[in-house]
Amino acid sequence: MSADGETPKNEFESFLGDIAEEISQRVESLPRPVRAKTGEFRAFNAERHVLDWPGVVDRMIEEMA
Amino acid sequence: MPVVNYQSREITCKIVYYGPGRSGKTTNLQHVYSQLPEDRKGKMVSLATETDRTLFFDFLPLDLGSISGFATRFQLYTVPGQVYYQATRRLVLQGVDGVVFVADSQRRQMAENVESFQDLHANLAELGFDPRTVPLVMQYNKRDLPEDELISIGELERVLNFRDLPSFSAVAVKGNGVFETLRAIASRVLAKLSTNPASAGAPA
Repeated sequence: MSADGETPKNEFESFLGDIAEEISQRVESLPRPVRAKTGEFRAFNAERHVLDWPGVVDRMIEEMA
Repeated sequence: MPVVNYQSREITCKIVYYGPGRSGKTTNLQHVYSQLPEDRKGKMVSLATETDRTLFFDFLPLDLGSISGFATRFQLYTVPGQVYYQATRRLVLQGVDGVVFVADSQRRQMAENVESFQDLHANLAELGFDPRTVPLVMQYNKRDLPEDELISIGELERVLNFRDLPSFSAVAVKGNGVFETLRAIASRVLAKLSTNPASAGAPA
């Protein structure tokens, strides 16, 4: 207990307080990843064969439905 | 580079304490461990020889809990300081996000400090890191020794800290300077935090 009656902070708690604030600010400032759109063909070759689609499983479900 | 993983909602940073043998790397981790509240105390893994020298490495997982919705962990490692454990040091350095260089302030250890600092740079380069951009802070340990046995801070700065990195005096065995050093390296590591490209499919 310190002279002013407050319990002194544990070193780890003090560290955690500082660092949590810094991490929060840093995370907020980062650009968030954008979700890739599913169920949408993105690329075809000249024969209209799909070269790439976001989710093979999505495509299979679509065709089975 | 430390990453924010939006898929697993995790932030993990790896910090390695590097330096010559007996400079106080393990003591730093032991002090951090001693300050952890019981509910956060994981296991500090320490592989030492019969004479208490670090044989392989120490590992202290630091669970900081959920911050901004992300499970945040710092992983603290030490390397064995003895010259012949080169392979282990390189292994521990893999994937490092930040380094604390723990220098021994004893005058007779100056050559070992320099050799270890050069070894750190060589190993970082070998692993494909640019040693000039890896977050690094210096700690000058054992500052409580008698004045005539000590290297002055000025000399340590001149010889080791030519890049003007943040540096801290410490007496790790008493806990002095340990958290100041950790806070500084954490801050430098966090400044490099980025979004993991692998989590690009995750919800925004």
